[in-house]
Amino acid sequence: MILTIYPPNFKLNHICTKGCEALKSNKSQGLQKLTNNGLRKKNSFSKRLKSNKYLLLIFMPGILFFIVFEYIPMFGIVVAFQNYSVWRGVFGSQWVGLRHFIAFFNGPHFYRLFRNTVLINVYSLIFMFPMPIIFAVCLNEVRAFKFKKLVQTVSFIPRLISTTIVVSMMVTFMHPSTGIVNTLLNLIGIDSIYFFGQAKYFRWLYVGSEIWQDTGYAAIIYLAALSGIDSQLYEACFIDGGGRWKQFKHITLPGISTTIVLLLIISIGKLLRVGAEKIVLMYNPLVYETADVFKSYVYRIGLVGANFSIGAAVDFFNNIVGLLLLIGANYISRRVSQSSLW
Amino acid sequence: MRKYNSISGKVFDVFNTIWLCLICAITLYPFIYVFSASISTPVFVETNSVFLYPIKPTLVAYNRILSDMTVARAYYNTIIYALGGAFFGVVVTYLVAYPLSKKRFIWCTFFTFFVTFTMFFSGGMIPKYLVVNALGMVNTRWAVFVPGAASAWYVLLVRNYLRGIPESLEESALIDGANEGIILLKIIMPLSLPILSTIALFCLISEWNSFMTPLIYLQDSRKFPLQIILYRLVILSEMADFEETLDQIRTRPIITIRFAVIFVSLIPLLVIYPFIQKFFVKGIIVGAIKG
Repeated sequence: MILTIYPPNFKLNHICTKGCEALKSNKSQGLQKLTNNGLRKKNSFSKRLKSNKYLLLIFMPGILFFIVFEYIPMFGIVVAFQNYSVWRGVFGSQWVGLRHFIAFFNGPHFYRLFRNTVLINVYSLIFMFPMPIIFAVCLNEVRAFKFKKLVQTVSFIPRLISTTIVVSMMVTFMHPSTGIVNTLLNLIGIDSIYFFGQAKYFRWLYVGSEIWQDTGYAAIIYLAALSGIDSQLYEACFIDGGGRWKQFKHITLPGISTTIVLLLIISIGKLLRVGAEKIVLMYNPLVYETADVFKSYVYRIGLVGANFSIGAAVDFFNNIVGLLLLIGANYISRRVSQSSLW
Repeated sequence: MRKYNSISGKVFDVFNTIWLCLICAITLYPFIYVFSASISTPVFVETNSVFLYPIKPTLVAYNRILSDMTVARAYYNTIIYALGGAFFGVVVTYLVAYPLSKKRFIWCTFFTFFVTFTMFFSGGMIPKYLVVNALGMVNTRWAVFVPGAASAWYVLLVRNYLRGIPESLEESALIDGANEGIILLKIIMPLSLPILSTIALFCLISEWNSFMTPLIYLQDSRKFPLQIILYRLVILSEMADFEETLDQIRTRPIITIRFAVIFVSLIPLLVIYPFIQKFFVKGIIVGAIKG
């Protein structure tokens, strides 16, 4: 299902009549430019350059941002192979090759970071991934249009607010003595729990906040896919005596299966990607055991602790493996379901 | 739509409606609670009496916030960062996307790959920090919104939109003797206003909510945006009082201030939400399906 946004109201008629007159005379410069470039067999480099002169002029300042802030940092990865010191700079620092990488892999932190990163994504896959699908399917079954719109509108609100606000709310609600979550637990007879202070709760808090914040937003894609299913199929099934469940099993599910598989594969491709922002917001030294992931480690040890080389090495490892996983996932997706990112 | 007159069909409908209402309630409750708690007299919040509606409303928390420069200054900073981010984001995105949308653009495929690659791989936190540092931007306001202006995702979005504009428009203009500049300014630009305002909105909101970038690059507390202040005022202090005794809790500063700060941070987004809802749904569908 492809959607394009067409700009409204082209004034095509007016322009066309003028153009048609010019075509008849065939003397205007613009047309010569066009036909010259089209008919020219030896489209020499300098000619193409000239005709693209203005486009390149527009393009250069923009692409400069990409070069400076995306590609030059890629060259900066070289500090991972050095004992980088700020005074000596990139070119003056001592080269140490793979020493930082080897030290990291053999060190005490690697296994913990790896396990936490993967487990957080696994928890997310098991508990968060189905939620938007269930939500979208249930919402699709609603016949009252106004109610449907209302629910969708409301479900989208958590996505608007920042991660910081969400975590602030969570931390406040789960405070051991003044948080309402613990107040409710006390009413049932359970003692107050220091949620953010105990490592075993961290992954649940992380995935729980993800569910609250992202379900409505993620459901949009599924709702779009659901609306693309031909309603005649449902009619046919109904006539054949199929009830709601049969319709779901044989029409709805296959209809959105491509979307599900594609998103599933993207999620698996992100198995080693956990962003620093939410982790840094949610963790504290008490829960590093389950909370610390590669990116948060890079921030804490590499940036704040100014161990630039080690931080760059860990980050580079994380990014490279993430890229390889994504390529692999994309390849599998292309083979299995004929749909892929590229 | 299908009508189910069987009993099981009706039961499902009832349960479905109930559970969707429950989802709405769970979604909205935190906002209601934060508001109520921020307005209540602090003692009731501390003794866990506030659940849904405020008890003995008072504006003491908000007075405290407004009398202190921290939150007001953070608001001011955030507005600057959001506007700056929107401006740079739109300009850089358009400068890159416009030429890429023309098939006759020299090295078009290469440049497209050049831009798209940055979506999948990046140099990392440290090298980027070193570059920003080398440019002398660390601990300045520029570092917050300038490096993030280069977003391949938005470039692709705008490029696809521009490709939807019929080529015949441009050809006719060329025939009429227009040069590239006039085509861009007088024809394509006005037609791209919808997509540009969408991008501006996305940049505005993402810059408003951004936390990691200011955290990394800013050390001067006078330049902190709202999210950093929130982090310090609410999250860090909450985590610090895990081990407090009841006495210490009673003597610490007014608890409702935290709720007031949270509420003050989320109010702008809630207020503009009804107006921008259309943008979001359209923009995401176009982006997600085509991307």
